[in-house]
Amino acid sequence: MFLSTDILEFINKIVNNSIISDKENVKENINKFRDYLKLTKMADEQLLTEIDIIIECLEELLIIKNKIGYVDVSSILESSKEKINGRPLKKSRQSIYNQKHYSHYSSSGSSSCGGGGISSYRSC
Amino acid sequence: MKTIRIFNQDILVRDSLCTTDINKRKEVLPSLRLYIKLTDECNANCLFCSNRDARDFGTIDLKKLEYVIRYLLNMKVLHGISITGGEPMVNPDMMNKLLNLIYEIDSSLEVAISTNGYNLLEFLKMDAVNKLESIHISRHHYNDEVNFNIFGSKDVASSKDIILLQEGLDDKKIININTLIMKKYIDNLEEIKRMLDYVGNLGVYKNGFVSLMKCNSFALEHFINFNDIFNNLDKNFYLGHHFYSGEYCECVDGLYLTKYNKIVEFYARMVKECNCPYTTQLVYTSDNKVTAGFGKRLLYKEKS
Repeated sequence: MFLSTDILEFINKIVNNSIISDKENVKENINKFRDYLKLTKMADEQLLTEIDIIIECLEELLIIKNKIGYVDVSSILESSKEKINGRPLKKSRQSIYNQKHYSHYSSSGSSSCGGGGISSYRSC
Repeated sequence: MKTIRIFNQDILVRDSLCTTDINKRKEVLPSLRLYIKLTDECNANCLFCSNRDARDFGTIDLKKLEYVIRYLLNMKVLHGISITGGEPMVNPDMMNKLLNLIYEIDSSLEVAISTNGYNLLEFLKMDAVNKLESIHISRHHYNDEVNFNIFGSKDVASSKDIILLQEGLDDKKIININTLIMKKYIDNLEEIKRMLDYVGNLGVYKNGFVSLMKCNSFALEHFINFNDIFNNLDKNFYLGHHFYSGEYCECVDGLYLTKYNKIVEFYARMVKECNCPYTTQLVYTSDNKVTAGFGKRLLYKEKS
């Protein structure tokens, strides 16, 4: 059920680079990462749900990080998921980075920039 | 590749998407992007300029351009428009007229503008600025003075201008910073990180990096293969994709966590061939011709 290693590593980096008073910024950063994964089809629903759990538990994670200097998101992911089991997750903040922003990506691991889709990157 | 007929001429167009596996293809209907060279005039004097040999110094005729856009839309081959130059913002009034024309023809067209930042804040006076898909600001260094030197001009995007433009836009994400990877400037991972830290501090979300196209002596001398940098990213990066377009082009994208805890999306690209056999773009020149790429074969010119 756990997030893939590289995704988890990056979320760990975001969380561990922060301080407790920085919670809103950390939340925004994880949401940006979530949006990127979703819109580039790099994460399925299960992975996105796990990221939502991390966002739900962010305050707790930052408290642990402040106390012992480091927190491993995966180590509490399971228990956190159980803890909030039975009540719906808060809906993720509506992304301000909409589909248009990712128009040069497409599904199934293909890029559609077309060698000229990004205006400054002239090619063929 | 597929041959399509435009303006009574056959052109070879790519009919596949880039893929993460260099040996795989994903077929799509061929489509083209129209680059409009609003002017060949430019305030800068870049040593790496790839435009010097393809300048016409004409004046755009909006009626003729309208005909071309409608023609391509009717052909169902147009997937977007990029406005470029020279420096397209040497005449903001003309830019405003052009944008209004494009959105009058089709309000759903994706329109991107490439600028070095000359008259940057004039964008905020334009009727259609918040309809734009993106404004690509060329910014080749995080230090204003070094950036001015690279452009050979002080009339290019300053940090202050970028921040003010960003603040004035409804949609903050339409600004992209584009940066050349070249020797002596942004040429290694630490420099890439400094650039991304800078972009994050401006409040801009996206930074594209491009290796020089080895098509002139300056580019040959200053070329850096982007793989030498982006194959060796550290833990501050999340590498999302590595795409290939056959042997001709490749790119990577992902996210970076700046040292000031901002997330910036990065994109890097390297075109490996100056002359590839197909085209993905048409160019409407400042003297009202249509060519199959920059400085390439003439496809259309209205008889005078």
